[in-house]
Amino acid sequence: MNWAGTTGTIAGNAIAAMTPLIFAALGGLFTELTGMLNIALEGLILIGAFFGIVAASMTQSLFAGLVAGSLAAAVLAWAYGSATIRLKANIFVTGLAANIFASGLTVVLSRQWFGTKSVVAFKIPELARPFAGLLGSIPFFGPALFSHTVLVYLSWFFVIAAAVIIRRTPLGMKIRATGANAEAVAASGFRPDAYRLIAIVLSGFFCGMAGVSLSLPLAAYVPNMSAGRGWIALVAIYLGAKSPGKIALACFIFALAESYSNYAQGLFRIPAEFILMIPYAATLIALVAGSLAKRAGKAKG
Amino acid sequence: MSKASRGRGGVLLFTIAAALASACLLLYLFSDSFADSLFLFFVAPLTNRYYLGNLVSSMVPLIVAGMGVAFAFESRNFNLGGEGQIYGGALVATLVALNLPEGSTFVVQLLSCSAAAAAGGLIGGLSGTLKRRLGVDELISSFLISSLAVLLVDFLVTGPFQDPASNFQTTRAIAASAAFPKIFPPSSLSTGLIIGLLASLAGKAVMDRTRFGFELRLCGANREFARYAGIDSGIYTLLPMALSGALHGLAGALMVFGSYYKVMRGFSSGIGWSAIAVSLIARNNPLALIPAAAFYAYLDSGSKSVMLGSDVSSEIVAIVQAVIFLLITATALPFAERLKMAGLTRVSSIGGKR
Amino acid sequence: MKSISLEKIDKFFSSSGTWANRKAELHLSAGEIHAVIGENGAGKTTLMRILAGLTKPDSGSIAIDGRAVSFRSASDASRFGIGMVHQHFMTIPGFSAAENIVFGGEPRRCGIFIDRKACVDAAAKAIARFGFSIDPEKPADELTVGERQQVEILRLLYRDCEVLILDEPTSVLTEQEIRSLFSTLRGLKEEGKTIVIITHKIREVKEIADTVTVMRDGETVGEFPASAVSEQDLSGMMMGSGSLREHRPRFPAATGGEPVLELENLSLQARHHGVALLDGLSLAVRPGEIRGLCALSGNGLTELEDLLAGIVKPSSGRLRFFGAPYPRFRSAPWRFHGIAYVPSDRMRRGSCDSRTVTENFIALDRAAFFPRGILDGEAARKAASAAIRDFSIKAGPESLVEELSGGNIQKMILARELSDPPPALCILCEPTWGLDRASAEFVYDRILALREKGSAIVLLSSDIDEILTLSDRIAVLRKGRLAGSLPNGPEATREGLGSLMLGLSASPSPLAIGGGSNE
Repeated sequence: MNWAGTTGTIAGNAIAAMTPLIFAALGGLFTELTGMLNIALEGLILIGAFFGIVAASMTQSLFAGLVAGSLAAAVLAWAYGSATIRLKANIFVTGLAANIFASGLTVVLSRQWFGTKSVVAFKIPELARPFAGLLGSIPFFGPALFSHTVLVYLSWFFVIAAAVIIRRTPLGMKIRATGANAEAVAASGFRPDAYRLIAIVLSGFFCGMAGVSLSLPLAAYVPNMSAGRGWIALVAIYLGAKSPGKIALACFIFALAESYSNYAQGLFRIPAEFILMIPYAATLIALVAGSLAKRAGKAKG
Repeated sequence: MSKASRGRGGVLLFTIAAALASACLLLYLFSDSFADSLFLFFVAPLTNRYYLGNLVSSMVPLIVAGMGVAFAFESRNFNLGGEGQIYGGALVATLVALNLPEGSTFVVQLLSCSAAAAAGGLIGGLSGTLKRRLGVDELISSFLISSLAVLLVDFLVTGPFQDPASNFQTTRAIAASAAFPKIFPPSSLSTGLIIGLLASLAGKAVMDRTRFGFELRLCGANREFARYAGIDSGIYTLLPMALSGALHGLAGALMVFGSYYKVMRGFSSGIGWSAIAVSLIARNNPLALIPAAAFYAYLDSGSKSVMLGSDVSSEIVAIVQAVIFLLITATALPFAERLKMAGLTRVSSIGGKR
Repeated sequence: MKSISLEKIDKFFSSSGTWANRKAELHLSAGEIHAVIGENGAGKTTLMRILAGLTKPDSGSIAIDGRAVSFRSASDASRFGIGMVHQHFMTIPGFSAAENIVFGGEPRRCGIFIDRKACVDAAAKAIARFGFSIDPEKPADELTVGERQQVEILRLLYRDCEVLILDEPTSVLTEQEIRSLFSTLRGLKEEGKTIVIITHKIREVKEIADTVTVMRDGETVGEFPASAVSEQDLSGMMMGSGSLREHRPRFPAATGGEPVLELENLSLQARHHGVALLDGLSLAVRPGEIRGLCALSGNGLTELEDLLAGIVKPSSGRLRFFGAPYPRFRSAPWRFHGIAYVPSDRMRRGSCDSRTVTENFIALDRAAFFPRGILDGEAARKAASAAIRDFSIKAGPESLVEELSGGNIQKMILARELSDPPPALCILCEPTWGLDRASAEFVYDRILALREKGSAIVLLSSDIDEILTLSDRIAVLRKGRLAGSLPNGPEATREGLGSLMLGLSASPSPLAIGGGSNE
């Protein structure tokens, strides 16, 4: 059996699968750093997925799709953020609003523009795989690292970009400071609310790209295709202790688990519903484990 | 600070206006004939017995589940798990009804509804316990547990409990004798309505007139004062969440016995969220749930009517619902001072989630 | 900048219903150390926050070098070189010392990236320049309290602050750190900076300040060169030298009888850093006696309240009620035991502002008003109405507490705690804080009436007049210890008590005692 090839393929699948997770987790990271719990990630991903592929199909330009998807999600995020911050609404209820809005709008538009509420296939240009040619045939590393679409490499770029923004730009410093001590930020003459809003809009931008990286490779839009990834992203942020590199690692583990479970589903004939349960169960377990750990830590003094 | 209460009244009015405005906007954007669709959305639901009766019938789960949301809110807890609790409750009710011997109808209904409430209560209580013992945020845990429950029920409905004789993904139907009698044919409005209204009154009584309701609201209003008064806030995290879950489960049972008679895959989809919207509009007042549910059911009914009469999909109600959610908890409308909202709210002891 | 003056500053806070500043004034000259001194609630911090641009005055003017200015935010003020170091430090956890110091003005590379090395260098330079010795790369969480304060000062200096306002800078420092701070401040003064210190510690004012402004009740009492006033003068101005109320005729206190409340060598350690919040307190209170305990805020009165409320357990020593261990907080209704407790935090601990007067009234005695779990509305309404009548509360039974004035809320709480039958022990904390004269008189009458009926009353208050008006015996707390204990006779004067509270011992006071003792 071609071990290098098989494990290479499995690793490669996982790396491809973690791309939307990375984008979403990076988006959620910004809001987490300002001290807000952002439950709108699911809806933002969905909007990005829908508008991204529609734009790509209309313009036959993948880049336009990427831009459209991330901008659309950023706009929704802006509305969600403004209601939360300027109108001082409850962040969980507005997050719910964003998710419900995304879910409803995508169905309405899908029905309106494409005449169906279920899967819509599109004709879009093929996604480039820039390194696939010669490098792609290296054993193990070929399928694992070099045969990916440009979106995957883009996600790696953004991991680095996010880390740079957060640690090495004044904006990043202020975002972190807002979450650590908003009073200090205000006392220094800045407005913490402005940075919270920026963080939410950034989360929209990144989740939009997450959505695009779901729909473009599939050349289709599937209703509710975010499928719990917004929640997995929150867990990844939590496990990755707010560091982009560690978050990426957490996403990889989740993607590996997802790949394996797809494989196992076929192999063991597990009903689809149980596979779909995994993101929610994982988040719940992570939450409980985290609370237990906190309790244990406090007990130790 | 009664300015705050007045402000909330202004927010409510603004939200309702925005909801209606967005409904109109959506109809304008997505329908071929704006005038026709306006009629279908706003007028048609009220014009014939079928639509009107169904509208009122759909209020029942909204009132009961909305009360569940309200009780949780009043104790400063967020039950986001309504979907799973309703769906799970409905399945439990159906299964109990299907497996009891065809004896006294009343006993069958009572047992099924109780079982449904118990099931919902367990689900809700689980979140409450996680919060009480481990400090796990009940908002997230209730949502996650509910999502798991929905998937589980999906599996059960299409798998072990699938009706072998049907082409649809559904369980077997309960015996026709077990269903609530219809009171407004040809619509599906049944005696479940009475239960719904009674539940609203009972809820108001419990909240206002019992020690349990008093302590629950005190815990939600000022935790420190409640502690000073000797109230255990842990119990008043667990009990409201369990009660909330139980009411949602009951709502699911009422849907089965009142309208659907069986559980199809996804039949409760969205009602949990609608119940939250209704409770927010009613500001946790059990009596106000009735008009709030009426308003919401009206919007929902309108969108279904538009869907049948034209090509606009019924999901526009989800968008309207999103607008409601977005605005209803706002506490600082920028132009609120300019719009004189004096006299808009009679400040009540119970109203308002803080 | 040569001079700054604030004139006729008014500031009203609707949340507490009080005027924090009333025609307050301040005049600063360049290159001086200026102390603003006053009791808690005198309005010092509010006035300085106005100067720092963090709050806007309701009326009044700020002038810099004679030109009127107005600040819309802290950044406006900082553009004029004015900055503030707050009492509760605002260091940013998770950042290093250097990152804290340069926050908001980080040196950049290529315009958008932060030059980390330059940050550390700039911070190190500032640290050395002002004679500190902090490791710039140390995380802020690991800095000592003194170092954290230095970081805050450096942050202002890094932004070329000319006027540094320090709010109670020595309240959390050790002796050594205070020395160090003062030498820093002198150094800054040499460089021409202007320092404003908000404090209530008279000794330090005399030590470090050039000029002193005294504030009381939101007003500026006077401004003096520090060398021209004595500690006694300052104490008198801070506290007010005359009593505004006549002393009541004192009835002889009931003597004898077993003590209702006993504190025996009570100590309370802080949870995190072993500082003694209360140290070796011993006291006894007998039936029919009013024991007044007074202290400046931050000297243990709040901790003693929590202890007497049964919320906190002492670290050592004993607390006894009728000779038995003190009952736990609300273990059984305290009225059942016969203890009444009026908390100092009436809005958070004492009442629930979103509920009605009736609901607040019955909240502590639910067993009585909810027979078999159902509300007895009649009884509740009757009880609430009786209390309203009895205590002249200007509200109806269905009014929401948030609509009541502070005075009426306090009356409601008193009505709830002090109604018949008279409790054996009353713990009253700041009972007339924020009340108008008439309401305060009413409350005093009630308290004295309870004393007649034989209750033992513990009165915790930072209001010397109140203590003098009501107490049979007075105890003064300072830094958690008993600084003095005496009967409320001719020796109990405002000045004397003020001195004990402030720790002045310029003239050896016959009232002062070294440690805890049972009188």
